Amino acid sequence: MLRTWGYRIAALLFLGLFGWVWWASYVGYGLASTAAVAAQRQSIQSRRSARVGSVYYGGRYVGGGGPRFGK
Amino acid sequence: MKRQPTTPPCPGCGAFARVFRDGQSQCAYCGSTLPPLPFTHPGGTFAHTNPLRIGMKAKVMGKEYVAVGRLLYEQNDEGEVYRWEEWVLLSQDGEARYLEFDEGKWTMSEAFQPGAAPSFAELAPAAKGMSYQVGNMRASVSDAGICRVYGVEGEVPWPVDPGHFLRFVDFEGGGGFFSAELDESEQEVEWYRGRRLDESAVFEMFGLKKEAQAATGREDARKDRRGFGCMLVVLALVALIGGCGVGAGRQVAAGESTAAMIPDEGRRFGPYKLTQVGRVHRLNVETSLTQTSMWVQAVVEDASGELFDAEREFWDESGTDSDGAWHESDLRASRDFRLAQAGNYYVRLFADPEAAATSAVVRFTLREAVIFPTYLIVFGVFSLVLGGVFLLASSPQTKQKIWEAMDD
Repeated sequence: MLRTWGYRIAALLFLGLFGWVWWASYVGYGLASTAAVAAQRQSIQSRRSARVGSVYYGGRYVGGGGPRFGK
Repeated sequence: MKRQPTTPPCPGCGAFARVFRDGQSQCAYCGSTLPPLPFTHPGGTFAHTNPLRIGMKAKVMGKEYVAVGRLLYEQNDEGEVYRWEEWVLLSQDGEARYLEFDEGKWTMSEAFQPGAAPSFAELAPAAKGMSYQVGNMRASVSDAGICRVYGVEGEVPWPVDPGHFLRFVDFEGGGGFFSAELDESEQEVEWYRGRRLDESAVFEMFGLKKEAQAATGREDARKDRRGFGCMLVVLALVALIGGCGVGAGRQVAAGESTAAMIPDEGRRFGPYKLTQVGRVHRLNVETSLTQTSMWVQAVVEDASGELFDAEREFWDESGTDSDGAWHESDLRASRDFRLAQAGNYYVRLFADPEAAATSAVVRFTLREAVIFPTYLIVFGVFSLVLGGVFLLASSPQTKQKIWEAMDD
């Protein structure tokens, strides 16, 4: 059991933060939800259209692959 | 150093304890002036490291003792010099106790005779880690070495030679603390047993109420630092286990297709009924490739259109360089989202493979009731570091050992 008030308060704050972190992880606080879709739709389509417009050369997409791909 | 009180008692009251005060030797109880000891060591030349002073009286288990003298020791351990001091406490009837103050720790000890104990010759080669039979218990050596008496002050009731070297062996075992002093000149062993004391308990014994209160405050703060550090480490581990180990949720949908079977407008799977409103869902997409690459996108849709995607340029490659063979790949992507409304949802796969990847299989899974790990991992790492700092701060010995190890 903690004897000094400073540590008691700090422990309570951390326990509160711990509880909030679990709640936030449980409900996905801050994550995009299925309710807001207009901007999400645009970004999904823009990512796909960017892929369609990429340069194809020598049997592969230029810029594709890992850091050493084809180097 | 033979610790046998050799001073005569006070002719006035019969007490053995005497103190050096006002330039002369006085009885600690009746104050009579006594003939000086041939080996008196007037104090005042060595700095004090604690509030104890010669002449102070202490109650030890109901019996009164007087602090009659102070011995100062040093040990050179591979160039590192350690110093500590020992207060000699003498009761009215001449019984001696020893109060050692070493790096902030107090130990009270007294002479004793173990039934069967190792001889001088057996103890001479003692080293840390060795074990001996002391009386009816097995005790292991916690420290052994040679120290030097570099200072003495007060009316220590036996001759003490400053500069005298002393071989000692410290033991731990049977829930206690023992030490042996080896007298090189007479090839004899003197045995002492002791117990650790809190600083506040020592000051209480000497009636130093203010100092005892301050020491209690320091000990409380140190214990609280340790308790708080332990709590943070436990919370950190629970958070990290929650963030990394558990909380993957339940799989509610899965599907796969070879890349060649995915048309330009994508291949749709479903519908899948999602019901965990307000909970985190995770869309995973992965493939297996060898020496090729493929762009993949998995999209969650409802009747109104696209909602979320997980997309990545997946690749796999290997080769050799000056460091030898290497193999690298990136074959998995995921996306977490919250479900705002229960209903039927679909997953649509898109793929843009290289020629060599057209036969690769693209798989997806959709999981519900997932624990979103980022907050837990950030909290866990932060609390683990902070908890470690508090635990270190609560243990000066560990902190010192770490500094020494870093110096080395």
